[in-house]
Amino acid sequence: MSYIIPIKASLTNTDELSRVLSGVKAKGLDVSVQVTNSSGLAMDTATVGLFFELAKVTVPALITALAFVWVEHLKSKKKTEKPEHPRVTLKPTVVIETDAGNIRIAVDTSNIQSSVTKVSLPKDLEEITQIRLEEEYA
Amino acid sequence: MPERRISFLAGDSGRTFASTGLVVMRESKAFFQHILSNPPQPEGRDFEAILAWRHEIVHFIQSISTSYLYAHSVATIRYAFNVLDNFQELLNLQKKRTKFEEITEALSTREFDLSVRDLLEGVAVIEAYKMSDPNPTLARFLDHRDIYFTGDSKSCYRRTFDYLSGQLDNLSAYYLLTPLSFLALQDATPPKSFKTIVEDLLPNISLDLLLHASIKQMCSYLGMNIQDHLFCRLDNIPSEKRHPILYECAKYALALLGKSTFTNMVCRPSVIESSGIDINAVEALLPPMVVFSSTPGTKLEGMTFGLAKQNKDFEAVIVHTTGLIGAAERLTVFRDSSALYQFCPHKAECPHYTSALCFNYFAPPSLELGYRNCGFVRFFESRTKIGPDEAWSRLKAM
Repeated sequence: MSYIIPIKASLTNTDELSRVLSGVKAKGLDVSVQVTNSSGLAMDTATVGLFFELAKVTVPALITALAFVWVEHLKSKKKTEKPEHPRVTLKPTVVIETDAGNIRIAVDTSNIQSSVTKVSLPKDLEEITQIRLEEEYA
Repeated sequence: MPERRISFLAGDSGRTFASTGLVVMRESKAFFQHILSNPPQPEGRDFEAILAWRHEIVHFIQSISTSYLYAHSVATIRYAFNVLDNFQELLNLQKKRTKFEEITEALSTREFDLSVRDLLEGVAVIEAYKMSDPNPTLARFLDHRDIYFTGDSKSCYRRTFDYLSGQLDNLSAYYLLTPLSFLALQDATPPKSFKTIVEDLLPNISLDLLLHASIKQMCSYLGMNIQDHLFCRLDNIPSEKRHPILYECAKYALALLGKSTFTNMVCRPSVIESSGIDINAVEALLPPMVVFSSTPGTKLEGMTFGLAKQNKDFEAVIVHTTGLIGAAERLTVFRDSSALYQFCPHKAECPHYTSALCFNYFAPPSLELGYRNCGFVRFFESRTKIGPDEAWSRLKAM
């Protein structure tokens, strides 16, 4: 059975998000990035999702891969851009949305794997309705 | 066998099928009810879901109150059924464009630098914002737009506001975009009409007068007659041009709200939130049917409002008509598309799944009921006289 999880991030456009998410596949996960341009009457200009077969991906593997690519993206961004407020520290965050509510994972960049494993993740990928890649105040 | 989650939309928060009044929400009904009964946070998931819902409400109101979108919806159904009822003729056309494809593209085609979709989305963005922010202001709207509708003036979500503020100023655009778009959408060529209003008529009128005018006064200042508008001549619409869903919804809303309240609400939908009107009456302006993605292990759920709440058959007409228009789209507009999003749980066993003709049929049977009880196949066969799988293979063999 296939499944698609929409991904949101505060990036300039869908191309940039697609580039970031292509890193998930590079981490060895059997997923594809799908961009849907809205053609009907809808609120979203375009959306990006990760599409995969449920049997081939697990929740911890997907979230860990996402945390890695998000941290890598923010690191590379910091190298090229001057921070707006140098004294403010922002922490990469992965927010998992489920029907029961949101699960926030503040990612420790020195130990990404454990940031994910110490959180109680949804058991089933189908429980996840959307994932947001954010930055929050440390 | 446990029911799979059915995610109706691949990514959109919500979508309105203006031709049938059906709204699809990406969130589940349980989550949606939770945010309706709790004040949403000013940002994040709750806010986005409620914003999407209000955005779709505005589109539904446009479909029952503007002559252009109403006529477009009537034509969409007519030409979609032409495609299905004359399937052999479609094959004989050898990929030549159908009337259905022309009408489908009409909304997004930019003439005079604007499209009908630009007008519809521009209003939905600003009105949904005004409904959702407890203290709406121009400055806050501009910030809101930069968060939720990024991009530049090429975006259909920003284009009409940017154009109008360029011709007038930001504040005038903030107050006048909705009523002026509403008036333009009563015409057969809304982009041209909008430009005529803005560039030829507005320079002769005091903006102060317009900013405080009712829609009736605005019509009079602009030399228009409100009696020409769709909702003033509903009874005169000939039976063949009466939309099976939208006509009934418009009549119902007019009867419950009265012409004056109806007019005030449809030309500036955000006033609904502060109207103080009886909730049952306001319900007539809500999309008659909303369907939600399911949660794992549960069946699909929907919500009905107004006429659809009173009449199960009306609800069925909405779902089936949306599905059949989708089939016509697949046979024409999306014929060569290899990646249509499909949510049906019967991928493995249904012989019709591969054709994706059912990609807009938002009532797939549960796993328990089985694919053989699919209403889409029955309705498709009743129009085309062949099954979806056979229709698709004949089309591809062309």
